[in-house]
Amino acid sequence: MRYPRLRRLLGPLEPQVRDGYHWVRGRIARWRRSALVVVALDADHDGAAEGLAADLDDRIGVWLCCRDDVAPPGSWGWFVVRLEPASVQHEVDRRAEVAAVVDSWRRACRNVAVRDLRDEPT
Amino acid sequence: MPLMDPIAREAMGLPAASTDGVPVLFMSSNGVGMGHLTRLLAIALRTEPDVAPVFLSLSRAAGVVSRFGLPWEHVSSNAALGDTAVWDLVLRDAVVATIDRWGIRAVVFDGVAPYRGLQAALDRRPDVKRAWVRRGLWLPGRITELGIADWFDTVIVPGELGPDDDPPDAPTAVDPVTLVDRSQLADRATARRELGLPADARILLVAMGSGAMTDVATPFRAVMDVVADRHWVVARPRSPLPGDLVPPGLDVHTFEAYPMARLFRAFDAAIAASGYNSFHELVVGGVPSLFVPQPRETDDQERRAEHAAAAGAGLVAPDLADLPERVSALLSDDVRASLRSRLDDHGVRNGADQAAAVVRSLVGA
Repeated sequence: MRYPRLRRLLGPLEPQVRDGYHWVRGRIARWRRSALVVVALDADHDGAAEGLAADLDDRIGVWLCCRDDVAPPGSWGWFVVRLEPASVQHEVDRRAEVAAVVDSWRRACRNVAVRDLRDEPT
Repeated sequence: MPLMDPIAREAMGLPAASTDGVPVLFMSSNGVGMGHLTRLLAIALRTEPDVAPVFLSLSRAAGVVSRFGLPWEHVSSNAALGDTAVWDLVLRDAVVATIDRWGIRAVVFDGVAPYRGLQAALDRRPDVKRAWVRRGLWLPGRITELGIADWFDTVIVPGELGPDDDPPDAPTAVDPVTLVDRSQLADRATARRELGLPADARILLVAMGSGAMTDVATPFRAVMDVVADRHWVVARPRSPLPGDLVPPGLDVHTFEAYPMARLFRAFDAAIAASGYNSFHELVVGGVPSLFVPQPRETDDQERRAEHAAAAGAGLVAPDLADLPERVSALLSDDVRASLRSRLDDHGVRNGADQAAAVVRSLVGA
């Protein structure tokens, strides 16, 4: 239990700096991979999920949603990120959460496309 | 923020979810299972109202958290990417964002191995306290992450019915952790009504897992062969996990319930895998049970089932070949009466209360 106390004394640390091997692995992974991030709301978008999954090829498909049943998009090949509904739904002005997830994938992958289904008819 | 329909919370007689307490993030691994998630729910619900629990789960069944009226987020497990380096980066950002979004003061992690992405996230938020809920009864030689215990403020080890190995890093040991207390069990008539089961039949629960990780169809058929002419009703839960299967052509009553343990008094006997949660919930529920250990990467289910047999509190079928004889024994009125007597005498104290006290003290709540 010594590490937490030491870490608090030192303050926040950029994690890659302390671990060169994993920093290199992360950079290589980022260089190799592309992703499609889809922002969806709920089961109304399931039809699109199946169709878009078929076009992913070697891209990582990220299904960003606020639905309670996260299993179906996962079973179609999507990497699922689920936030609380207030973080995703348009009527609540908290879109920063969605932007943060997209930014995260832009840091993790070389080429990231974004498709927002919230404005598209289901 | 409006919370979800808390159907399980109301059924368990719990008050409304706490939103005024100290925000604590309960993070579970899993992916195709939900054992870690269920154990964390057991602890989180008992930290209220001093703590306001928030969940981040890798389990595809994470939606069950909604039934307790608690907020939750989900990130797919690394198996969905097949690329640990990318996943570590994404998980790191997800954990940091969740901590910031909810003002989290402590992270309670339940999983076999604390992920590098989790460690990296907490390196960025060092003031956040951290606890590791680390199930015991590891298969020999499989504990490879003990060194990481030093990285946590505390390690909580949920107890077992029988003796566990002495962990070398002196963590906090608590009694067996279950989601449902004995006092929260529905009575027999209510449980059968909720499950749509006949009021006056003898009913056997068969719960050997969803089949997502191991073949459950073969032992299921073996059980049904024995039960066929014994005038028992067989019931099984439909798992909230994908991959759930019912062997075709069998006369089985399938139901959905979570937490299923609350309704265990509906059953006269059970045949179940000896995973941590189902095993201890059946003991608490006082259900005469035959345990069928399933092969797992780290969890020693065979040893856990043998504990029950040694205590006279359960039967065990280590191999498929043992099943017919052991199922026949379980269906014997005398054997079940003996098992039930031992289970009723068994003093039950829920380690979830002790673990919750540890979490509360971690954040000074």
